[in-house]
Amino acid sequence: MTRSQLPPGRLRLFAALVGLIVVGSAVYLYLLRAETSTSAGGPTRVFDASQQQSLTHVRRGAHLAFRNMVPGPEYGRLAFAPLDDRDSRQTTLLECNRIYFTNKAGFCLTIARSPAGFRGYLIDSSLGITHTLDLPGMPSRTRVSRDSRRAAYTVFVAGDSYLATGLSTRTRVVDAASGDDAGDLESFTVTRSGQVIHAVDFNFWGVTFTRDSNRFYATLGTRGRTYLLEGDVKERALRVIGDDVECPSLSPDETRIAFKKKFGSGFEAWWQPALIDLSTREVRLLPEPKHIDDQIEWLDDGHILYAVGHSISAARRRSDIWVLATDGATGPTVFVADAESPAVVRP
Amino acid sequence: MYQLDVAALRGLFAARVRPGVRPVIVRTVWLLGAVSCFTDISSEMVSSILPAYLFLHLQLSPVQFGLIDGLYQGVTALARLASGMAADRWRQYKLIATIGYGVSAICKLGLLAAGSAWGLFAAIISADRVGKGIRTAPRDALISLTTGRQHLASAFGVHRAMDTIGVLVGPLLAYAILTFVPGRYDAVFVLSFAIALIGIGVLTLLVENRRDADDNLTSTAHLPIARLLRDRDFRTITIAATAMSFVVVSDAFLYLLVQWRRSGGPETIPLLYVGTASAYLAFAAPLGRWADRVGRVRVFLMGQIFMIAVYAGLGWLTLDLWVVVLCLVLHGAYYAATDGVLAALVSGITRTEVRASGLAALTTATSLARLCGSIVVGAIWSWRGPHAVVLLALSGTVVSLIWSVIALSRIPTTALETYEA
Repeated sequence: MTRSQLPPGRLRLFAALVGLIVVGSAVYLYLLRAETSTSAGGPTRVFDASQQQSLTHVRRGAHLAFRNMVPGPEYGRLAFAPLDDRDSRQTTLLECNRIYFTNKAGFCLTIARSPAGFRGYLIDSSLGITHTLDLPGMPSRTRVSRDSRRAAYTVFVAGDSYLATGLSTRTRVVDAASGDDAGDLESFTVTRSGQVIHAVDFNFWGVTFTRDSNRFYATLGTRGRTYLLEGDVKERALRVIGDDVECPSLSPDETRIAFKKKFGSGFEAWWQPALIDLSTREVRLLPEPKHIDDQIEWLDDGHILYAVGHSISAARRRSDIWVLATDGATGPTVFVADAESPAVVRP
Repeated sequence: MYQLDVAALRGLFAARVRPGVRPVIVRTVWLLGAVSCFTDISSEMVSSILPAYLFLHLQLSPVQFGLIDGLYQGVTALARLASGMAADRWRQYKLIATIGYGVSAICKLGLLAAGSAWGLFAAIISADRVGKGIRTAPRDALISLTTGRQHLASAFGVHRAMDTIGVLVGPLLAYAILTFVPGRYDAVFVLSFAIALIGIGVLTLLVENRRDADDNLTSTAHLPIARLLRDRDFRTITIAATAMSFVVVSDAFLYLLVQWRRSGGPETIPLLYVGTASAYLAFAAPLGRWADRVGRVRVFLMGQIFMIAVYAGLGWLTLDLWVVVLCLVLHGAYYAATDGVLAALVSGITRTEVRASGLAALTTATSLARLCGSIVVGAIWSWRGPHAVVLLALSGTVVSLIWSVIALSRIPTTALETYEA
């Protein structure tokens, strides 16, 4: 047998193809970079010195902390706006995927680029980063207790299951001042009607603190169902108090929980905001047909806030924060355009 | 990757430079290795960013993610068999492989267009899998038909090593792109498509359909599968491979086990994955060459012994860093001793006119067995916990090994005597 040579015409054609693809890709990437936000990787400061005065001013009154979603160089960054003048937002330098703030503390979950990884930044009242936590997965939910003592986060962990396709959550409570671990929900004792229950597929998510920051509510997911949990950080205990409640959010007066109620299954599944009255256990659906993903936030005892994504493509995702009256009397309206992950901060 | 076996490397090139002698690794194998390398860079780029893209960008719920991932395994199995039979029927190995690579490449652009339409997204991911199903058998047939029978395992070893380079490079490239243009997932999809195109360019422009395989074939293979299933040796090897795939638990489970026993964070899982892939990369070519020398069955059996050692180590030893590293090296060696070697075994005993069908039947059976295996593992883990899984997997592999030793020794030596072509 003899070895034949490749036809030179084909070799030339192949070289031309590779050249074209390499040059084309390089040009494409450089053009794309020109229109993309490329802020520095690791944050050293949350805001620019020139912003100090206006930020202090906004933070002094009742305001909203959120993720800025205006397309452009400041896309994805932490921002603040007064509740009574929401058009005048102050966007900081810090990139966050999920945000929560109180008047004294803040927690920002982010996908950091250099060094690459998932991080949580604990922020103090003067907007300085006090602690950087390495998170075990992708940012999903976060809350800070109203007394600013504790913070909680939920992340998604891919591949953390016996099937390669599995996906699970990790939820932890941390001390907001020291950054120390105050409890991994997976290590808490779960009881249902007085009996201790356990399964390998337990997933916990969506912590919402009560006023004293020791008690909280959260979701337990197992075997395709969700349960409402009442938890105690000090006792490391979780108690099932209801079912079919996902991603709870406690009202300021602590009488009701706003949550996402799931309908349908598989690809047809959708989630609708609903309220559960903690004393009567009565559940009421709220008139909002749009898809909501993140935990709901309370504006006051009569209104809830949540983000709704739109114009979603591979290149960009836009999102607005909507407001809805909990008495269901009026339909939802846009509260802040081009924003997500809202946190209502009152002095 | 081949540095670990310098003698083998020298052997490869010595054979190449001697005029008039057929080289151990022919050009087609190197070129198909390059095609697979580019294709794997392209697909691993996408799969490494997929979780972040789905949950953070598209805000898909985890329930829906599970559906996307588990979709259409059956369709993929059918596509495998059909493409293998079609490739044999018309002897168009290159054409059918190109269709498979092409489908997967176009899917990368499809992801760009799908946006947040879950249904469409799931359909594209499935089409990508089907593309992979279509291309595997004709490509492996092409490797086997252009390589001398005595060098089959070496050729598959080299091909699998090049393939694994792509697996390792893809995620790094995706990360580099997202660092250069933060948040632009569309850039990852576009570049993934561009790299897939280079792979298709190598295949269509540089690879020839089939050279110097023995001709004068009887073109009567209307039902090649029926003919294959009548072949006792083929049946035995396929059953042995299927049994092994069923009892050897998935990578994900092993990594979870490490995590569970070391009570470490899930952030270490990607590192474990890189460990296995690196070992596979290092051992694929040397073990393939070794299989050609000492016998493919022996190396295949040895692969199962490696796996038994992995279970024993992860299940009962104190897991300090070195034990984990050793287990990952053995895990990679298990892949190197079984995947390409099995393809070589089957190629060595199937007639040319049913080669692609035979390889397709082998991969269909093993992938379905793997799927069933992980479902069973999942159930046992929930029911009895990880230790029960390790114990069962270990005993299952021992049984599979013993059965393989008995069954494969019955195969007439002439069928396996690879030196006499």
